Amino acid sequence: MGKNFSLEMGKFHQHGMLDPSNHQVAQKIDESNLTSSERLFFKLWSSKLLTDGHFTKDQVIIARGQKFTHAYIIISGNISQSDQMGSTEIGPGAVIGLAEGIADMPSSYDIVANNTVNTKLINIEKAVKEVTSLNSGLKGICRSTIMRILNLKVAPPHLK
Amino acid sequence: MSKFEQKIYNDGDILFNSGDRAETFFIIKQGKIKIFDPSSNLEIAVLNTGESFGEQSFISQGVRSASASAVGSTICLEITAKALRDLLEKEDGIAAPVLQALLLQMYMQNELRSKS
Repeated sequence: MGKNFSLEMGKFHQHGMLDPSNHQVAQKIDESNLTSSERLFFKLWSSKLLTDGHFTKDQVIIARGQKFTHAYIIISGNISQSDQMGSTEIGPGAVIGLAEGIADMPSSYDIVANNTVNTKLINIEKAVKEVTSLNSGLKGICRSTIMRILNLKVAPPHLK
Repeated sequence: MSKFEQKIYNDGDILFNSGDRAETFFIIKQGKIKIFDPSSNLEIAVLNTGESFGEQSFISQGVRSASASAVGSTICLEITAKALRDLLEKEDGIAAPVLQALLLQMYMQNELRSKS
């Protein structure tokens, strides 16, 4: 296993931020020393607009070549993301398949749960509807971010 | 687009410096922007028409980690972080979490690319 990615969850434990649905816990975000990415993660973790998804050890989340029907924000647990080049271990704070799903691109990786994995789900069909109907400024920000994530030189036609 | 202000820059004009407070988000309407490290003058990226930059203003209101200058005559659409957040809050449904998750996915990709 070569590269890996995970946010430092110890900080959330340190601040007692273990239940984002608790209003008092959510207020602590302003007093904490969380980084921008950790703040984003906490907002998504506490979002009531997103549903929960769970995977068990060795469960295949998506196979290489498949299209994403959902994107996954990993809340706890770890996954392996692998292709011919190798494997990457990914943990809490990772977002899987959102840019690919909105751009209508298949997964470049086989993605498997290494243990019990809890996620927040984003339905891709709904996400595409939302992004394509945004005002041109916000749509431009989404388009540009997707292109940078996927290293695209040309925007997908439905995002232009 | 009403909260986006259009600004015109000439070649070499500095949009912001490393260490400045990050309070504005930019979309390049026409032209190019160079992102560089002022201490070494190392070019980090050249962004083209349609690309955006300055996401940290939206998510953290921290400080700029690099400087930005115009390459040739360049037009940018600019919006403050507060106006952008207000704009997003007015959107129904999952627009806000989708944009937040895209920014988090970009952070992850940048971290993974820096390790390869």
